[in-house]
Amino acid sequence: MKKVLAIIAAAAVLAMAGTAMAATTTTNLTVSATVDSVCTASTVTNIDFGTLNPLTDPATSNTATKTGATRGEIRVACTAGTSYTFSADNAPVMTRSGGSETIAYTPVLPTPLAGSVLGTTYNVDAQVQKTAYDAAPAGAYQGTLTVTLTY
Amino acid sequence: MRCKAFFTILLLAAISSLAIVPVPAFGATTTNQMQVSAIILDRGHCSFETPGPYLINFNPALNPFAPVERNASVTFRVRCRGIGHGGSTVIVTRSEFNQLYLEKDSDTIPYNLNLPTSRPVTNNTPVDITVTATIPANSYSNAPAGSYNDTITINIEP
Repeated sequence: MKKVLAIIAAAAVLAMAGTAMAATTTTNLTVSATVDSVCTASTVTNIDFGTLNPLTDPATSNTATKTGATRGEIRVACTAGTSYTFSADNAPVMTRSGGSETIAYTPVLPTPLAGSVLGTTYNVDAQVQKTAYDAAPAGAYQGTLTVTLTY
Repeated sequence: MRCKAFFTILLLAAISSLAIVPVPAFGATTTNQMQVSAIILDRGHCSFETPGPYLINFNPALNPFAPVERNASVTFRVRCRGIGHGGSTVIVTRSEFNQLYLEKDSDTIPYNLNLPTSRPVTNNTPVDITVTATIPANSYSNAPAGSYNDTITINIEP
């Protein structure tokens, strides 16, 4: 008698399971997100030509190679894989402190690498032609160079 | 569940009945046949009010430079018909059991999905079910920019 009961019980359970499986309804759920292209940039080191001497300097002085000069540094961090470019003011100048005389110079921008969240430090240099300052009054000259990161 | 309980009670009753079948002390046996029966209640059938696909969209976009845990959800409405007077339960599952990933080409962002396992329902009365997706803060700080997505299957029973 116990065996018979067990068989009937098993049959009933199977019948219930069959009903449940047949009654499943499905739908699709799409999950989406966008990761922003984001870049940040900051100045690490300012550019400094050091001392310019019209009498002894070569025709062109570049902070990348000039003795006593300091190369500029900027640090750029971007969302991984973000492409970007550098640009700078078109005709930047340094102005004499306490005066209005200017010395034109040319920024030398780095070649950008692929974006990295961890950040990449680039050298930003500048070069100046001796003709731009061979008639300039002695003094300290300073200007602000804006480097733009486009991504 | 109710019908299972009902059946269990019947079964226990039957076993209890067996216990009182007299067994003579001197080896003679007496057998008796008894009927065992059960009624499987109709569990009904549940369906999505809107067939889908449903969308969980993380908005605004993820900023890898300010990573925080992000949550987004969608609510879908389920209606069950053919359920007995006592009500029933709609079971909610997903077909994918492994870690879930949003994908863009070969890049992935892991995420978690939280959905209710069940909801009580009554006949022909809509019930709202909310599914929430979560992207952990530390999961996209190195993710390349772009659109990521994944599609999973949600099941309801009965």
